[in-house]
Amino acid sequence: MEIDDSSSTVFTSRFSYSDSDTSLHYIQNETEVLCCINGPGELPMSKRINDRLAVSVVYYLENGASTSSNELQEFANLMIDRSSHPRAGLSINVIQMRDNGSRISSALNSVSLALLDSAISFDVLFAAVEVALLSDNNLIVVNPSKDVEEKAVATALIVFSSVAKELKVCGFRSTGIITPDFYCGAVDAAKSSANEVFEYFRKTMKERLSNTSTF
Amino acid sequence: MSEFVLPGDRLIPTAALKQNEKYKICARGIIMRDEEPHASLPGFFHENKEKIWINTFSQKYFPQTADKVIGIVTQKIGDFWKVDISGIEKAEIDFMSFENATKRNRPDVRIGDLLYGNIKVINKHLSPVMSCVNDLGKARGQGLIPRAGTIISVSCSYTRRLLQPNCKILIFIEKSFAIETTIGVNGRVWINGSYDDIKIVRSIIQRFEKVIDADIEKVFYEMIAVARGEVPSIPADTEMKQEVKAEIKDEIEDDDPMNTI
Repeated sequence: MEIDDSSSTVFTSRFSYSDSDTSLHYIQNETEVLCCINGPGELPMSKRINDRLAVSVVYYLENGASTSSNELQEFANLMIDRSSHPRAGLSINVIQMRDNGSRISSALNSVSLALLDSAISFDVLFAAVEVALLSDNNLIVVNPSKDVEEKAVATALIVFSSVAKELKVCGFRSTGIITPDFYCGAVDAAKSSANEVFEYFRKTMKERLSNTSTF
Repeated sequence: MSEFVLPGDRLIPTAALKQNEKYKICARGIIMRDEEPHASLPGFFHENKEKIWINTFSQKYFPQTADKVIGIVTQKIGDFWKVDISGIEKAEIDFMSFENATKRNRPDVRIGDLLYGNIKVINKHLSPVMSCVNDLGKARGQGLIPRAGTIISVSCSYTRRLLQPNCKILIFIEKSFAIETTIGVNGRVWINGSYDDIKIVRSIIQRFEKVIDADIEKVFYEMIAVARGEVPSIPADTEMKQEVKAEIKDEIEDDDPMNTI
């Protein structure tokens, strides 16, 4: 399978635009997402979990309707060290402003970056990359735009973790008919993009701390 | 500069440990995995002999033992008060945790009062416990804050920066203003003084969060000059203003009914 790695991803982020505890305006290529985190804070007795932090993730589309956020919920639960704040609650709101492809990976990366800014303890840090398989020439496109996704025969969301600066695949969800070759090709194609995402997180957080003279 | 780390990065302290000695992890941000320290927060990694810690930026306060904080009394329940320390849960303080407090001589603490104290006990399964005395029973500056002045909220890392001995911000403020201040590491700063001084110092402290050390002196004196009216805050076209003023003056003189021809 051929891999199209000609274009690298463009990232932009802006913090603290609202009154939430943490707020982030994140743009990945041309897909724009707002992520607000409130907490950890006290919860009413009926909603508390006795030994863990209760995390709720809500994902809104451009028209205001909330959509399924199973991937975001699962990965947010795995990323955060929930045992360090039992009986507390954390609310993550993700609002999609513009969708030009790779929307789930943009949403997940914005949640990771917002959680980094909120100083909540992590178990593991995730970064997500989407790939699409084009049928005509068996080409795998990394971080495809919306046009490419519509023409693709299969797409996949791959989630990587970085432990001691080594990338490991932690999640894979695909749509369409795929083969084991596609899985291997997709993971190889996505690794360099995942490295770019982690490097972007590192550079952004370092700049954020340096701007507030936290050394 | 210290190394910047992300969660998951393995930390490699340069200082070698003696036999049977272990690393002392200070504050949050480091977890042991396979007997090696790993970061669980983004920040700059520091070490001092066997002590290792990570300096991170946080808006939210996570209580640690021995932190000196400013709390707001919210509720009285029997012999203790519930105090809001801007953490996840409210802290509790007993009436005996004040200097010279006895069963007959109880402190006069009301709802809404400010307390400066230290966090004594932290347990994730219980509320934090606060005290206004040290281990010897002495206040050493802790206790009820006077019912005057104002309180401002800033990020927790900024308050730690203000409390550094080499921080220039407070040095410049003390040279120019006669104010009293108390800084809690939970992101609260209490200022007391004359009304005008409080207004200026409050805006200075809030502005300097984003100013690096090298620019502090220049920005400080600019803000003082603007506050005292020595320099206009918005640049004005002075020639245009003078022309307008002259026209209005002539009109007023012409319209003055007291003028006799």
